[in-house]
Amino acid sequence: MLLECKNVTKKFDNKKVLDNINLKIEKGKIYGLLGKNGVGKSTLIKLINDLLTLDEGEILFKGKPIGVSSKSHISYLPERTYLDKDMKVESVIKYFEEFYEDFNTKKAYKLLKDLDLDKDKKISKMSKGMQEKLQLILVMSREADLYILDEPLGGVDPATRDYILDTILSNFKEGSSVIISTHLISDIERILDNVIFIDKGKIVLTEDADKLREKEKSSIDEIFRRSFKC
Amino acid sequence: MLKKLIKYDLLWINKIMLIYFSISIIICILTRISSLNTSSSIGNIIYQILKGVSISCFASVLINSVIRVWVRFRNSIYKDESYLTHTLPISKNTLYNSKILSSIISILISLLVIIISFIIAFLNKDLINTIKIIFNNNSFIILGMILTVILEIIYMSYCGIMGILLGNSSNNNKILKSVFIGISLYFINTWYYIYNRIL
Repeated sequence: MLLECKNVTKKFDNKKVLDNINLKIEKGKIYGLLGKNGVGKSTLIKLINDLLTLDEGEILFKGKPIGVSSKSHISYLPERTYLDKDMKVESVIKYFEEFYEDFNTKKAYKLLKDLDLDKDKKISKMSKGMQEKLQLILVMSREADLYILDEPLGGVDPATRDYILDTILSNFKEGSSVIISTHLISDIERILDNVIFIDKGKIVLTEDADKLREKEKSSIDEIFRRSFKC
Repeated sequence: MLKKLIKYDLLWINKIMLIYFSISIIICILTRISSLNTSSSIGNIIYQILKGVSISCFASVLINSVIRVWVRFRNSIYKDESYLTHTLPISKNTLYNSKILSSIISILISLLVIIISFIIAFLNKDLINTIKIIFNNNSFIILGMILTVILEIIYMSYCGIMGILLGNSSNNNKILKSVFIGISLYFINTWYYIYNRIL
C-alpha cells in the first residue's frame, strides 16, 4: 500500500470539511478524485501534502506518517501558480534540481522544448496557461512514487489538455501512482484506473473505472452527473 | 538544505536591495566630490543637500532591508509560494531557522553597505582622530553600543515576523492584525525593559 488515509477528519471553524475519510492508494495506478466544488478534494490533497494539519485520524505514506520523508517521494501540482514570478524558467529548474534528489533535469528541458516554453523567459511574462504547463513540467520531471495533480487541466485549451494527459501518462515513473483531482471528467476518464467520488467531505464511492463503466453501462462522466445531480 | 534555503532567501531579498545599495554608494560618492568644493556658496549648498540625501539613503537601505525580510517571510510562508515552500522535503525547524538566519544576514549586509557608504561620503582625518580618541578611552562602551544597535534592528525585524505569524493565525484582517501585533510587541517589550531598568 502506497498511501493510506485512516479516519481522516478535518474541521474549519468547527465545521467538518472531511468526515472520517478512509482511503487506500495502491502502487502503479491512476486515481481520479472526483467531486463537485467545495466537497473537500483540495483539502484532502493538502492534508496528504502536509499543507494542513489533521484534526483526527492519520495519513501514512509507505507505512510512515506524512512528513519530510514523504515529501521526498510525493510530487504535487497545486491548483494555483506557486512559483516566484520574478524567476526565469531556467532558475526554477535549477531550484527544483537543488531541492529534489529525484528531479530529472534532462527530462525537464525536453518537456520544455516539447511544450515550446522558453527557458530564458521570466515567469511573470508568461500567460496563465504557460505557467501551468511549466508547473506540470516541474512536477512530472520528478521520479516520484506518487504524483498528486490538483486541477491540472484548468486554464488550458482542449488541444493542450490532450497533450497534458499524454505527458502525464508517458512521464510518470513506472510503478508509481497518480491522483488527479478535476472537474473535466470526460477529458480524463480515458486514463483512469480507479475513481474516487467524494461528496460533502465523505467518500461515497471507490471503484475500478472499467468495472464501474461495465456495471453502470455508462461513462464515468455520466455516472458522475447522475450521482451529483443538483 | 538550510544553506540552499538561505541562499534563495538572500537572492530574493538582495535582488532589489542592490538598487538601494547602488544609489546609496553613488550619492555618497557625489557627496564626497561635492565636499571638495565648499568654498563657494552654491558648492556648499549642494554639499549640504547631498549630505542630507546620503543620510536619507542610509535610512532607506535599513528600512527597506527589514521590509524585504518581512515580505519574503510572508510570501514564502503564507502566500501562493507557500505551496512550494511547505512541500519541500525539509523540516519546519529548518524552514524557520533559514528565515531567522537570512534575516540576520540581510540586515548585517545592509549595515555593512551603510558603513562603507558613510566612509566614502564623510571619513576624513579629523573624523578618524575623533574616533581614535573615543575608542581608546571607551572601546567596550562603543562596541557595546554598536552591538546594541545591531541587535535592536534584528529585534525589530523579529517583532514584524512575530506579528505576521500571529496575524495570519486568524481568518480575517490578516495584514491589519500583523501590523498591529508587530508594533505592539515591539513597544510593549521595549517599555517593559525600560520600566525594569528604572525600577
